[in-house]
Amino acid sequence: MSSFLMRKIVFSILLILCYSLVAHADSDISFSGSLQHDGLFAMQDDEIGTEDYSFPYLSNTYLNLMLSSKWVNAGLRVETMEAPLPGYEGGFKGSGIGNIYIQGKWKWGKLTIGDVYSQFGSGLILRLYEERNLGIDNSLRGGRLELTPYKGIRIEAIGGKQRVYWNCYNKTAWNFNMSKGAVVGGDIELDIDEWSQTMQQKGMTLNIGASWVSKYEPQDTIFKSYAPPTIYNLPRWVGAADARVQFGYKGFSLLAEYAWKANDPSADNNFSYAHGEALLLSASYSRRGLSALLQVKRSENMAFRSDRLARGNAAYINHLPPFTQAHTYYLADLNAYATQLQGEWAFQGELRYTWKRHTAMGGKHGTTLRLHAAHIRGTSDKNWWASTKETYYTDINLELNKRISKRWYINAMYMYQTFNAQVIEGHGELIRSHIVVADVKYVTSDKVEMRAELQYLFSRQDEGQWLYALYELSLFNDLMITVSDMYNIGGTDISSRLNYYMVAASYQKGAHNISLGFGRSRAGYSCVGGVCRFVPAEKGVRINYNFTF
Amino acid sequence: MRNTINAILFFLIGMLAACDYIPPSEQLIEIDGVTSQRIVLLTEFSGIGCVNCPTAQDMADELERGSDGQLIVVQMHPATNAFTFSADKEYDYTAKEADIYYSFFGGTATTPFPTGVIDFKEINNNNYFADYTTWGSYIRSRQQAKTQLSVSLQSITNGKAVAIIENSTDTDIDFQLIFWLVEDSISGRQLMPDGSVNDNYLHRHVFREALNGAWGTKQSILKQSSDNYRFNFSETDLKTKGYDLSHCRIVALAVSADMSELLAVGQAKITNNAQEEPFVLTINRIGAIRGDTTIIVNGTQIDAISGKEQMEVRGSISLAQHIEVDIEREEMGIEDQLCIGACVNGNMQTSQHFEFNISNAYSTWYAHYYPADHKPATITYRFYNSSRHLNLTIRYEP
Repeated sequence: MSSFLMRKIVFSILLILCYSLVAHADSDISFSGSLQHDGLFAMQDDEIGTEDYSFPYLSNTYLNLMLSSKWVNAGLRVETMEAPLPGYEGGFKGSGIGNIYIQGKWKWGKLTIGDVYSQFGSGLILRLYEERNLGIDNSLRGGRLELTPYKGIRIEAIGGKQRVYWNCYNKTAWNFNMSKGAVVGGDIELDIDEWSQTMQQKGMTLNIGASWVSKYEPQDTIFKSYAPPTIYNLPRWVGAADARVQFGYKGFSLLAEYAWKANDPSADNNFSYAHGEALLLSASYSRRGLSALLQVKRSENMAFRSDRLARGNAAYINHLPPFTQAHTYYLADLNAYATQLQGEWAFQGELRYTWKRHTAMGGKHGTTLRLHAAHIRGTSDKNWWASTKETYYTDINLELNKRISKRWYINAMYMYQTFNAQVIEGHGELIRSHIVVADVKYVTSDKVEMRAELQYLFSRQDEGQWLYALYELSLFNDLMITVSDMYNIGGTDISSRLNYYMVAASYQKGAHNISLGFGRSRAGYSCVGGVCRFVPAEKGVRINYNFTF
Repeated sequence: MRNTINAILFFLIGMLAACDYIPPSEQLIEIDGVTSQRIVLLTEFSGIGCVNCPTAQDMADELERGSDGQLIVVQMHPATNAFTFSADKEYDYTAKEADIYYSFFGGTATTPFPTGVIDFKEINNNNYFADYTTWGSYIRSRQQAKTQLSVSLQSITNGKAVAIIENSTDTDIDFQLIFWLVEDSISGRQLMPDGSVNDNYLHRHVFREALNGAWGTKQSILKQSSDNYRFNFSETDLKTKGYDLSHCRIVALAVSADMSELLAVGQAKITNNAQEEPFVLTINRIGAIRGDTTIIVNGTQIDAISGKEQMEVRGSISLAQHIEVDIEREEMGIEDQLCIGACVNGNMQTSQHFEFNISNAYSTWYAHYYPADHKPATITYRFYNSSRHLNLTIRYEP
């Protein structure tokens, strides 16, 4: 059956469904959606090294439409990126329906046909998600079955062909030909506390989970050597399994999760037949005014893709959490960590304490202090427990958040960071930085707020010292004006001391949000959850529009 | 509850079934070599900031060495990719046309390096780029595809390059003819796999420029024929740009008119031979003559002008302004005519000597024979100038 005919059939089903649901005028039916448009009138700027733009206007646009009712949900997402924003991988360019699904619910089952997302446990062997900032959408085109046959039991089965950019428009995808990129998996979770009155009475929770995922790929001819010609015997089915237990009691929470992956020779691991594994341990405690977190992770050879030859951010089936803090301050995020899938030991800890109001440290309105630390090294061949002497990343930061008065708020942070650019970005040195941030907000009235940030980064490596300043004015809860500038005061020569300025205004009215900005931004990496995308330098007028209905 | 148990069993069976384990003894498979049907071009995209690019270059070199001349490698450094640090002009290997090709193939700032394009062809849906681990596979596959055209380049000197194109099909072919300048053994900076910076790394096959424009000139070639295409360039200009011509070669590409694939490719070094240029002799349906050659002819046709029964051997000759021809006839009684620009008739003598001054860059040459009594006959032509000679023996066997 041709892909064109198949699409017609699917759209017809959706239209009939929409019509019949609306026609019955059932009050349980709801229709919703969103429109997101991000655009850039790109301008050439040789000083900061912008690309040669083939089009004057670059944009990414997403339209989501969703239908919800008691028994059936359906949705689709139309995407258009014919001239995408700078920094997205080549395959990202294109237009069409990036996501379409229909979901039926009945008693203790839910079946979704179409493009599905899911995550098993922490995502160590399966995480299917959309992250627009990174250009990631690794959904499966197939089906997902979720069952809750009994209280405390959740079972899930999932299978399909993974989306890699626009491969869903191949005839093979619409016809569900599993010749390449097919992924299947299952997950089971048991909430033991649901079956134990004693545990419930004591406020204990105990969750046990197990998952498996397998991907299918036909043989590729990959040469190990050419004289004599010798190729790798590649496994067609590669499986992975995950087991986890999570316990909670009176504010304490403990998680232990272990994942294992079978031989998976790929471009990521230089066609090694070694198995992969990951161990994640997490302990946390929280109560009013106090929280603490301690996490350890060891992972090795856990890049798991549906295409063994893929590079960049494409075709990942799993996701390893980065174990570093996602910073919101610009200079603190200048050198963001990307999870090293070949292997790493990662440690993360955090302590947060809030002094109550009307105490010596709390003052009139309370004070919160947060200490966070992360440290990451490579794994070693010596033994399982050993790590390399080489530090990949270290981040120790102390953050103070205080409301000084009825109108004044302050957030201050000091951070020490080491960043191994050679390991993380493929080039460079070990960069040691001290970063200081002062963030002050003044609320003049219910309708007017002002915020100012001043950030300073000191380093003897890389590009030296940076200064960042921002001023933000918020008016009537609808309008926000922002002015910022970042300046490299420690550049090795005068020509590299550049200003990266930005002026922007955003307006929100009901479900509409529009923002307009002009300025330039430095080349660097945009990272979300340990996954990074290189963003080239850019200059121009930015337009962002969001509409939710 | 029964359904729950069934679901759990499905889960367990799924875990056990979907996994291939390959024991160490079975991880590598030795395969047979293949006979190459064509010369293939690997356009390697690289950058001095790319840590895996030295590994890829070694791989390309190994492929080239083992290809017996059937693989040509050219390395491009597009300025638009993040791995190509063109800010440091001392180690700038970028080229304007490299950016044009890179953009044409869909390359962006974030395309992972090292990567390569084989014969300008897409390898899968809208994707030209092949990861370096797959080059051997795609090249091997491409080498087994029969070619429509062939390109050979004669050794180039004094700013003159000649590409000889042969069309062995029954269709006239339009194509773009492009001449690339490629420089070898450039010592410069490269980021190495261990993270160190090597300022004396030997860059090989570096693309410098397209001598006649990124997409060259439009050409046509008739079915079942060969043609010579001459291109002049200024060696002085190239030296001014800093290229070491003793390490340079010209790569000639014949790209399909719709730019969907490379039809043929050839290369030759630039030499400093200041002597008289070597000539190039081709025979239709046979190709360029590289050494002493014997042709057997056993069919005749009627000459439309003279009405006589006639055999013809036709081809082309290039570059030599002055060429001499000695003719030796083994049999008497065969009338013949040799034309190189101008025509001379044989006078039935056993041996003759002619001299031709070719004013055009190429001249068609042909020889007609008029066998009187259908007896076997042999004529040997010795073509020569100060730099080259070759013997062409034509035997008529009725």
